Amino acid sequence: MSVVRAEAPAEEASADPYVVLGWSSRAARPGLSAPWRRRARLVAEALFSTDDGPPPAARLDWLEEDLGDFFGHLGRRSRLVFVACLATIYFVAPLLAWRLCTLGALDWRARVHAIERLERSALSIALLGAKAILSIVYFEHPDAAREIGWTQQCKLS
Amino acid sequence: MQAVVSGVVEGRHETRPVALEADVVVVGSGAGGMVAATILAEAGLDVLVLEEGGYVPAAVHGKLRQSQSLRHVWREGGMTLALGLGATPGVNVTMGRGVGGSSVVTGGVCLRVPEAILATWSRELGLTALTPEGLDPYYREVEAAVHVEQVPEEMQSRSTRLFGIGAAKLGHPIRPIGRNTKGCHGCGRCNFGCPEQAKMSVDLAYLPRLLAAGGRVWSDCLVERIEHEGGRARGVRGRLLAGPGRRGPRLTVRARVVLVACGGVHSPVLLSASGLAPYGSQVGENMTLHPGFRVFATFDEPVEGWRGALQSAYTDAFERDHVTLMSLFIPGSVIAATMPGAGAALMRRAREVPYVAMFGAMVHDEGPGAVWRHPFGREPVLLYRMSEADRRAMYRGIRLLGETFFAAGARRLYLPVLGLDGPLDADGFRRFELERVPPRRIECSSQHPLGSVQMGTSAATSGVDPDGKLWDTRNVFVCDGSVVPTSLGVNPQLTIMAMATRIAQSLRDRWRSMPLR
Ligand SMILES: Cc1cc2nc3c(=O)[nH]c(=O)nc-3n(C[C@H](O)[C@H](O)[C@H](O)COP(=O)(O)OP(=O)(O)OC[C@H]3O[C@@H](n4cnc5c(N)ncnc54)[C@H](O)[C@@H]3O)c2cc1C
Ligand code: SF4
Repeated sequence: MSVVRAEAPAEEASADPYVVLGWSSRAARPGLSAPWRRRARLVAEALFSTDDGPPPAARLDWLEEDLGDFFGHLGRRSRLVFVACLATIYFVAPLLAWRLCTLGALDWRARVHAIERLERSALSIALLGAKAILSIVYFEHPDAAREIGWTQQCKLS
Repeated sequence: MQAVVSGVVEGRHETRPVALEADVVVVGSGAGGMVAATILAEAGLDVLVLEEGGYVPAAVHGKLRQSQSLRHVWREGGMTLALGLGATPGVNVTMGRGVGGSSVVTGGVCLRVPEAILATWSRELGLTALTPEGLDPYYREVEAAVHVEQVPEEMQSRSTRLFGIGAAKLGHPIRPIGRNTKGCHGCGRCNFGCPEQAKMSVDLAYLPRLLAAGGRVWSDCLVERIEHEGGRARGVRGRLLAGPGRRGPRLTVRARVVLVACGGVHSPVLLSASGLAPYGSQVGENMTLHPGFRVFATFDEPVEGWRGALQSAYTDAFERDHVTLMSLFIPGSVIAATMPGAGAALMRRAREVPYVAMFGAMVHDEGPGAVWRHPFGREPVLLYRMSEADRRAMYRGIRLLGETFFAAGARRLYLPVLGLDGPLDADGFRRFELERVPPRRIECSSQHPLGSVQMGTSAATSGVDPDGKLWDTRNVFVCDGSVVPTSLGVNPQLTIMAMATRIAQSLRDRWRSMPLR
């Protein structure tokens, strides 16, 4: 028996951000465990802080959820690579800043300092890996995109 | 119960084992596979295409956020790395995975292979049919099918124009390129789905023809093995995928001919898993990557480089140095990701995103690299070693990009060098000893894995014969980027499609003499 779904409908009907033109994109389950999502959030909070402090909590909530969905669609190897990068930041970066603790034990300013030390070390590739994924998701939040002037307007607009 | 979206059967909804039959089973629905399948279906053969990835209709893809495109349409979210051996950077190798393969994530660039390269193919490799005249009819056919048109100047982004100003001043003017587009609005997001469905990737240019000719396409089907005996394939077997890495029910297909089109990385994986890459064979060897580097420059005035065709101009003036310079743009989120620093320093730089122009350099490489099947995981291990000439070309390309941007009036430059404190001004760049930076600290990416089952005239030096048939088999053909005989120095999709057309037409013409299953 065949269930023939029509071409994607023209109008977006759903309020669910993971449903696009009737096509559901939500991962069956988050691809990162809750502790790793929390660690990712701590790193993001420091990475995207400004002189005024960390980004709003709601934006980080959004990031945490979307990151879970992102990795929910990927295979084991990518998840492992991301977790390895995150683990390097979380456990090694503080040591490079002469702090004998994990990143989670530091306030956001000290976290920024530790991350900067890691970026100048031979392990900078680990930071690049995690920073790339975190930034790609974070700056898609409409408010974050606006803050950096990324309008995505096209030539004809 | 079967779920069918726009004619494509979604294998992930199947709950029971599936057994199918076809004249030809095509494994992989990318640039090579979809084109070959269409030609064979239009010749009246019963064609079945099996695709590991899902089906994201173009209308949906064009509405996704960039990171959603990455998770649904790009292999492993774009996180595949080739390990650099010796003085070689690690290379981030990106590929598409889904109906349409990498063709749905291209920047649309369509270029024919330079005649000098074709001359080496025919003269040095003995591939005497692959001359400019020999390939011309296939190129023409593909160019018409995917609607290759020259990008009009008014569609160039300001980023590309600024680079063009610098290039003209330095005496290496950029030239417009052809792209497979129809009705492009210039929103610069072709790699992540086209909101206008203007990019004529194979899911738009060929899939409707394939389905109209009676071809069948199944998504979410991972082919794990080609069944064969005595050099003759009987079909394939694998699994329906219930989700990423989640193996569902069994899938078996009996077919008279197996056409492998899994791309430059995964075709050797399938052949090796099937016992068709014996010790000493060239399957999985000789891979080239076109290693690429991008340089960002900031200007005083707003650039908003996302306004315009994603790629629109290039210069081959440095082919003698093995470098092609090519316009490109990446999303603001990715630009921000590659800016150095954390916290306030990073965010200050991220606010420069609208002032950023960028251009890329691609090395016409020798490599080589290799694909090793992972005994326990789906994704293989990729190894890559740059030759001395590749390394020289890498530094030369980055330097050329920097010099050109400063000639255009750029303020500062962000180089693809890991661990740099920040951008460089013109003096800083002049003093910067780029050529002394260890290759491992250079950020490098590739979108063009090629040649891992290269075409040639003997089994000792190549993976397939000049008709695309795997050596020592009677009915296993390969028709994707892996058969490209050498690195091209230009973007490969047009050539892959032209070669797939040639392989499929020769198979069609010989069909009656093919062995029965
Ligand atoms: C980001 C990006 C931008 C690009 N831009 C350009 C450009 O502007 N111009 C240009 O010329 N080229 C470009 N390219 C390159 C071009 O897209 C590829 O060279 C071309 O699509 C390769 O075609 P292919 O048939 O070899 O493989 P693909 O198109 O990659 O198709 C292979 C398909 O096989 C499937 N598959 C693999 N293994 C199996 C299996 N075991 N079972 C079932 N299915 C399987 C894969 O999921 C995939 O869908 C770009 C590539 C990328 C990634
Ligand atoms: S630049 Fe043109 S082809 Fe590319 S996504 Fe935008 S409209 Fe489509």
